Amino acid sequence: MVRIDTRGGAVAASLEDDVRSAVFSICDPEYPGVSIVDLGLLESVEIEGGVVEIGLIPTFSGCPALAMIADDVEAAVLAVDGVCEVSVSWLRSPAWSPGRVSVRGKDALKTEFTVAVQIGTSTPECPLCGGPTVEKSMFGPSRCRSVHRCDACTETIEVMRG
Amino acid sequence: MSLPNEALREFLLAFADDEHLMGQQHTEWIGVAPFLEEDLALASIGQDELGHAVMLYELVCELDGVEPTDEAIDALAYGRGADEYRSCRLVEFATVDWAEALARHWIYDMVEGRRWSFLEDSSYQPLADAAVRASREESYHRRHAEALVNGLLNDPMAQQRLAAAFASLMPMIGGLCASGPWEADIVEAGIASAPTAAIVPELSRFITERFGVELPAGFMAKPDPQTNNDRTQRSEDFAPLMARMREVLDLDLTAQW
Repeated sequence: MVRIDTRGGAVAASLEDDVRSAVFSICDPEYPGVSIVDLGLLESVEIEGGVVEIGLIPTFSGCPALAMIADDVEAAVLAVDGVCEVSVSWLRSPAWSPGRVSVRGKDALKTEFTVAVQIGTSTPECPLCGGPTVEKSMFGPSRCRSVHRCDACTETIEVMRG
Repeated sequence: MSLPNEALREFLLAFADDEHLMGQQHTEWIGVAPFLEEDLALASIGQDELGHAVMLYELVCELDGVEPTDEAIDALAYGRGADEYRSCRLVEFATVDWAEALARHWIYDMVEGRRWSFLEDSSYQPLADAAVRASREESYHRRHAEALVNGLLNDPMAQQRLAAAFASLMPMIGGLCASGPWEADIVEAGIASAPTAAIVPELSRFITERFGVELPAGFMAKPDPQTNNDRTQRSEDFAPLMARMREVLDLDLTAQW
């Protein structure tokens, strides 16, 4: 849902690019270097003149990092040239799911954190050798990660799940 | 919709307070559960229940015409008088017995999953949105409770302890399965597709089949001060539980969090 201020024409389009870049620069506190946009948290950007509304969705309802992420996004967008007012809200819908993680996000989780992403009930691939993994514990070191074991290389790995 | 605001508020509080206190009870096992996986599981499950409580308290704030800031939600969660809470006896119940904690987890999450599913098509859209999110998370809770119970039922001593735990919790199930005096109106208005009590026959059959424990006759009768089915009374365990939750808050009431 993007609304561009048509009165501004090309200027507004480039402002939106700048705003999106600013949001993109914010990383998940649990995965430094991985943008919240690649994790699928950004749902909407609305721009009216210099007033920006950002709509985010939480990975899960009890996430303790929500206030921190919203503050970071607000500060980054407010620093964009041409923006005079920013509001960041956590939307009630749609519900987040691992399917929202982008290809770039999956690659970064795999190479930087050896974390696999589980889509639905599919078998996540081992980030180290690509082999099939088996769930060992539904709950891991944080709320959105379970613990799997790779059948092929026997490595224990973390899996981001819904 | 001619449903009074009070009805919706009471209905939301019944669920929110259950989620809040259940979440707290789970978190109190972190570090002292029988094995590491359980510490982790209860940390995550407790976190989910607290998240669900926040979603529901936000809706209560909106009904009250108050902006749902952290302070406003804290005021609802920690700042009401005991008589203003609408929790059921089961979530207030203090236990240091792991079998009772596990039996409560199994019962609570089975009922909670159904409570959210009754709200997924709610005529009250913000509640329907919350239900869709919560239901996704709940599937893990039920799967976890089931897996643990299934493993333990293979061991005769564990089976005995679980059966005893279920027997001690039975009188509290009626209160969990009744969401206050307005439920008929809530269902009539399309807020929920069924009353919480709709789960009772299935729950009762499950418990008898799996654990060999019968629910007492007339356990859904109300009002009953013993079962607190109308959710107006707090049990003796409520005050110490609230005191533990408020312990840090009470150290300095003027502190900025």
